Amino acid sequence: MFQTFVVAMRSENVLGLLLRLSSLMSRNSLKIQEMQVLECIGSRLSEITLIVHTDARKMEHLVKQLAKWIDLHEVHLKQE
Amino acid sequence: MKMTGAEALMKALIEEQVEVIFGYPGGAIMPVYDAIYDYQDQLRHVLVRHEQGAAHAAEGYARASGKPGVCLATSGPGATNLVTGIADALLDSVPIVCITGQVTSALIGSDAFQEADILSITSTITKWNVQVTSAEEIAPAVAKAFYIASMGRPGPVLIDITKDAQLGYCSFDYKPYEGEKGDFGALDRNLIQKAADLLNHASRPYLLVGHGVLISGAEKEVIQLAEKAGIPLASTLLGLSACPTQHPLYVGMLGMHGNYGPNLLTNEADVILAVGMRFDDRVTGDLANYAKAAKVIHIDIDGAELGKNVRPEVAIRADAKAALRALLPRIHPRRHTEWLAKFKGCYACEYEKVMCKELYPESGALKMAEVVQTLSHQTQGEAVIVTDVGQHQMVTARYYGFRTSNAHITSGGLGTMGFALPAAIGAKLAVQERVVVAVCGDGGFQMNIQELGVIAQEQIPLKMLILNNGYLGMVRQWQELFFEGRYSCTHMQNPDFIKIAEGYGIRARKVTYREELEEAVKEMLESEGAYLLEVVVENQHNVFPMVPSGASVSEVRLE
Repeated sequence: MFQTFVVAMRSENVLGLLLRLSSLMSRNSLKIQEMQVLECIGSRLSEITLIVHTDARKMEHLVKQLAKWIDLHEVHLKQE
Repeated sequence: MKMTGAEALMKALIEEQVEVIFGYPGGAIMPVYDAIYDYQDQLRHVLVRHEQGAAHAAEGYARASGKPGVCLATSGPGATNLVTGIADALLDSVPIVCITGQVTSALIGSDAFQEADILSITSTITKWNVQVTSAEEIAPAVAKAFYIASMGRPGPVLIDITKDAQLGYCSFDYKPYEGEKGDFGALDRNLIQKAADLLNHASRPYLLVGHGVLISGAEKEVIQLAEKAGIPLASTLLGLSACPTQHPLYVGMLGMHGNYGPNLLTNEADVILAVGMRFDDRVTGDLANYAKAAKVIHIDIDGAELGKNVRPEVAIRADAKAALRALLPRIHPRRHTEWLAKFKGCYACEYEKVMCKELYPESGALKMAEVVQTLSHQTQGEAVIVTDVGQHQMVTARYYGFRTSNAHITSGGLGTMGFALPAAIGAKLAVQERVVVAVCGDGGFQMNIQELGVIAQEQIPLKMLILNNGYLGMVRQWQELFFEGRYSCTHMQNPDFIKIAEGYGIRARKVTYREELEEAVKEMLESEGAYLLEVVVENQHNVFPMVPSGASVSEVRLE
């Protein structure tokens, strides 16, 4: 069953971060409904919020894949 | 003391205990090659003939040695030629560190000569990549790259270094990268106990062994567990050689061309313990009809693999060795004689309908299986076997009797034709004391045939066996079985492989008749240097058993 999820993450603000994120989304056949990116702690970190419409299993897999990223500090998932 | 970025790269690689680099020079990486000139006594550079060969050679080196392999290429086409090898390393969890030159930072984005956006290109096929634009960033990038390549589930990383960073000056103070992502914390004892309870109460338990067991070095533990609990043990393609094929509990290989019993009886198991494997579609067939009677215990170091394809009853994110060591004392000694007998019954059936005809034909052209069996006997199952992709790969996996660990290297996930020759070069340089044999088809061998030049120049005593059927055999098999025998573009008019090898100064021989086989394999193995043996085999042969694509493992066909 499709639901709306909010993914909140905090990462090092490295070159190509959004490219890697969008590549991971497309590799999982997921469209980004909404996205917000904010610089924080100077420009060292990025806070990213994504809204994604998909099923819970796919979302769980995506979060597990994100959690492996070396530059990612935190990732949280919330169902709307 | 100040040094150039290129020299800092050399020193950083030495700090990481790198001994061999596979590479190919070009404009944007020339400062690094100039530095290599000064470090030749500490870093052996192997000049490949195509950058794809460098990536696969680094893979072969990594898989045979257990250490990250390193490859080096210039910008643009040099970097893009690495891409297939990088993707291959990602799917098969191989730690390689790829270093590419890049145009000078002021020219990035200007479509400069030999400029390619290799960071974007490799973003989905690397664990991590980075572009370095100043000399002082090089050493920290190398430290981080080696950490990430080896940490957790291994894989490829890429460092793209601009030419000005290579030429710039920096001081050198090497600090190993200290990350936290490789620390999985303590094992969850409740999960381990739950797994032990399931195994202790199972009637038809089944142990599936994957590549993670070899990567973790958990071969001993996995066999101890199988023996204590009396569980039949099957292997994935990449898990081969984790358990000797002669072991009484070893029942065979899983997968599309795996053994009959291991596929068929998956759907009769009541508890499956899967260690370091990812339930790849080639193993599961139709997921909707896979192991529905079983409670699955899945141990894997990669959390993203747990629950991805098969929903486990117990999911343990851990290194295979650590998890098995924790599990072993909680396992009750048991025997499952009737269950094991079912596998033996299936084996007898497969032997009669498939194996006997393949191994002991009374007439006709040579068959791949008898060639592989001859190789297996003459090497006592102790060689490192590197295969390409296709029918010969499946036949080698089925009929080579592996007696030693970490002895089977192949492209499993990506299925990259052209993998074997360069990967075998890398493997031989990693384990020089072992016999390494590249087993190839005539199609795949020609995909990276240029690497014969490396074997000749570096005097690598690699043995090469071409099983020549004059076809892209696996595709031809599918055309026969599923496309009404419409053989579209699969017949190959091949060159004279013997003359090609001799052109490189490599000893070679061609065998067509059964009577010559034993002696020819012996000659190959006893030769001091490199040797190419071409064996002409039956040209329209099909590999069975077979689980047709998309079918259930219960639908495995013997003919």
